Amino acid sequence: MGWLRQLFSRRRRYDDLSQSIREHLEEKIDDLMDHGMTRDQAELAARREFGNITRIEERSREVWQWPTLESLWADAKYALRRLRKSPAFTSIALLTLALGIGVNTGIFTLLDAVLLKSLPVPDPEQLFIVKQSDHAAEKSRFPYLLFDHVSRQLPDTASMAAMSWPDDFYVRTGSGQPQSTQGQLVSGNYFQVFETYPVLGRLLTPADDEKLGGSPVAVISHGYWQRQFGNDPAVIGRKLEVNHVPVTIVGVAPQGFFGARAGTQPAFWLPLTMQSDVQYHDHYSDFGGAEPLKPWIPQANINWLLLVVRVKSPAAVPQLMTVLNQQYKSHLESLTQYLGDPDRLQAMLRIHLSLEPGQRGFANLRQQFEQPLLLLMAMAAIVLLIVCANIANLLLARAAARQHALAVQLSIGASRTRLIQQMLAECLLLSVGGGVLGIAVAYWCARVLPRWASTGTAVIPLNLAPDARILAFSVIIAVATGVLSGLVPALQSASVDPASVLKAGALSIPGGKWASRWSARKMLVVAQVALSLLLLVGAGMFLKTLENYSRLNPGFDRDHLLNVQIDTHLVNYQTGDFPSLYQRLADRMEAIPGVRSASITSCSLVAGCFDSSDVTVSNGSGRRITRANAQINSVSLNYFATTGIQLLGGREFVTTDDASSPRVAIVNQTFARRYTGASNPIGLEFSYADNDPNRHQIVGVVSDARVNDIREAAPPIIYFPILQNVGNIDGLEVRTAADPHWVAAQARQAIADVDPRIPIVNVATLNEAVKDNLTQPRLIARLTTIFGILALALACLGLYGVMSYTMQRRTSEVGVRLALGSTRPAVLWLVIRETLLLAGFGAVMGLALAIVGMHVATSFLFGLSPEDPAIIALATGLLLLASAVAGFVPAWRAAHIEPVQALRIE
Amino acid sequence: MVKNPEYRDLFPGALELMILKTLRRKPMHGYALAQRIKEISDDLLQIEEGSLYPALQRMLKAGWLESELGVSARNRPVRIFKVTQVGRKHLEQEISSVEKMFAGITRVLELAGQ
Repeated sequence: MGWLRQLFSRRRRYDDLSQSIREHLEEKIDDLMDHGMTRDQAELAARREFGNITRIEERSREVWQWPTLESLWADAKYALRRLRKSPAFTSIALLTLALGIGVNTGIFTLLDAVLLKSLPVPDPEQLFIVKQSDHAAEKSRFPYLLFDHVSRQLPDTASMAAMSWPDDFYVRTGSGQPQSTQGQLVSGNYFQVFETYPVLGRLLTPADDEKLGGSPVAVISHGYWQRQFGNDPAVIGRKLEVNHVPVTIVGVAPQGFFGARAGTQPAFWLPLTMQSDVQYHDHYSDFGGAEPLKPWIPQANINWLLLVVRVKSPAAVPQLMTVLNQQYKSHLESLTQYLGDPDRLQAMLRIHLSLEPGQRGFANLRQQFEQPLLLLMAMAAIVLLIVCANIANLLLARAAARQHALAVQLSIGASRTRLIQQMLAECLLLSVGGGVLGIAVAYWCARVLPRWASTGTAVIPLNLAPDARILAFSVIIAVATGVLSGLVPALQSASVDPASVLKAGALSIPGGKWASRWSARKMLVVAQVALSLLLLVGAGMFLKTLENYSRLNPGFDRDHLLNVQIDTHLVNYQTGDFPSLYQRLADRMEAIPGVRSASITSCSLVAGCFDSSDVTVSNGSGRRITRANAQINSVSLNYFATTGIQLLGGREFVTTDDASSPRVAIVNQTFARRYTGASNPIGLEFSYADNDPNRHQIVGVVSDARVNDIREAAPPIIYFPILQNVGNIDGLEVRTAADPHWVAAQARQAIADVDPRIPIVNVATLNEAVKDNLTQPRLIARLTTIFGILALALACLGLYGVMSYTMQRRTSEVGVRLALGSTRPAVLWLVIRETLLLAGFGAVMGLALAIVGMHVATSFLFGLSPEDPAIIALATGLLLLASAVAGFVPAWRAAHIEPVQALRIE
Repeated sequence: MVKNPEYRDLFPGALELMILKTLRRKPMHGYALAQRIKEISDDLLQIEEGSLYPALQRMLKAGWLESELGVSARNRPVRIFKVTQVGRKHLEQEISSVEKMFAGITRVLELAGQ
């Protein structure tokens, strides 16, 4: 407890010290007087030889202190007192800092959640995703048999789980209507591979994989348990109806567990063996011989599973790779019977498997949001820089006002380091305060931005819980902000020369002409202006991009179309039922007043339908021309008239294009351009497999339409007449005379009238669908605009501050000018011109920045060049106008100086 | 004004060594100590008198010195510094290490001269 005693005895130590020094001086003075000096002379000489008493006392006292800690504490107290004395400055500084730091932390929280966070499972770095050499990991799908064979030969330290892609199921709990709910089919050891444990009941086990359809059980997610069952522990044993199949809830997964794909949150997990029972139907099948309507488990040629491996010891990796590739090779060889073409066979046999790190799960969300998040992060950083410049500017103004006080402090013995420390303490206090307030802003950002970035009403589920990285980020950013904004003011005020400041009057202008013209403050304002112009130009370009997109003609008539999406899979129609179902649906829909036409489609417009297929194109005599990959869509007769897609050549589908007539197809322009080149595609033929005798003849070409996403150019598409390709459909396109909103409710009723068993997935106008596509550009435009306005306001504040200060120091000069006959408008213009000069200089730098910046962000622009002159001119004009307004107040004040009074001050 | 107010140390710890050695012979108050050090260092050490005080505080803190009330030559009550047991021990160690160092330097110089 030595330090405690020391703390108490310190006061006495200090007294002793002062006493010793006093004694020293007195003895010395007496000595000197003995040598014949007068008392005054002796006192002066004694002090001179002793040195700076204050400093020496301070340094001696520091021996007993924890010097840094205590002087920091003293500085903090002093800074707090000074901040309290100027509430206007403090609140502006805190507010802008809170915004700047908060926005950065908020966006970083998103960036962290999307790009950096590991899966919330134990040892995520042990996880790997199995990848085909010809597909991305998230698109590599495998049949159950391969999973089964590999699993049996895995090294001891590795385990492998299989899972379907998460999909929507119609789930009924109790007696309500079925709700579309996300679920996933997983192997029995899925949860063991992720090393998760149930909150309640049990998770799936390998025993659930044993018998086809033999294990109608489900594990539900923690969130679903909360939402749907109010955390009721009695949920175990209750039934869920998944696509009409009753399953028993056996357990609840832990909170936060979502599997391997960030951005999705399955509500329940079923054993793979239930695939056929619940009619899960999402698969890739490249080769013939697949029978999708039969159970998939025993079929080697239905690719539907993603594989995740946990490797506990890196030493097992080579053996694992060998097993994987051996099994995969024999799997491929078993499929050769379906491929006649030797080239294609060779290409297929070259496919091999590799492992991709699975620590952060599948990359879908990262790919989708990496670029926009980095863009937003960069903009947030710019905003923070502007905030820093603003604070630095305000601090410089305060330091200028305190110049006299600083000079006095220096001349009575304060060290310059200590003064710098004091100023920095003030900044750090501000930035930490701003950072704490910023937590609220960050919270808001992190909660609201995902909602703005999600399509429709579904919010992307993200794990936004703050982690160590976010904490470190916010601390670092708060401290860096403090240092960044405080350093220049601190250095400048500590370099005050006390003698000249004290000698001159309060209104003196220190420094040469250059110094006053290009003071640190002016440089800061110039930087602020430049950065805000960058943001303004960005805002302009992103807004224009959004407008270009929303004015874009997508190739279909978006103003008069209604998407009615339904899911016929669950009704169990027989093939023979479909033609009459199509007819009834179209007829019933067209009976609605205000509906002009309705057309069946197997792939609704702008609704995320990506059915595609490889085909071999050949000429009329059967000689192969090329191999093509195209999106496919089976449509009823009047599809093109309904959607407004134009027929460019050949013929449309006609009533005779049915099951009994020769097979026909229509392709779009992109297909024709890409695969048939110069030759006329009409009359050409194609087939799915090389040795497939069923050929389709191309009878027409239609115009391109952005059918997947308004931001994506049209893909190659093949349209089939639906009567030659009967099966489940995606819904109807309904063309209306007026706003399609008006018939939405009746369209739902129409479906129910035809068959109440058909689940309605979504009824939305094409304009709404397009609007959903534009969520991301809208988010970027909106945020950049907010940032730009904020930046402009801060730059104007800076300009105003600098000009007010400059003019205040030049009061007497203006007085002289006015006294010598200068007119008030001339003075007004003098000040405004100077403001515009500053702003103009900033604008020139800002333009350079903006052009570079926009080139970097080109991928976010649409329909305009990164140097679009109109937008650059507009942004610059806005900036200069705002600057003139900011300069007007000090100009007005200067123009109304009374010369007599101004001169009297001097 | 003196440009560099810090004393120039001959080597780290020289001032402390000098203070300890001086005070071991005779406990003194601050002014007397300053005078004495000036004398013995033959003004070689350009020190301000005040620079003694931080050093004295450090040594008090380390327990090498203690202070007590006494009387100056002019019969004033003054704080007298004197060396403690610990301080004496430290001084001996320091002296022996300085001597070793000097012996080393001398040897090197002699050898280098041959």
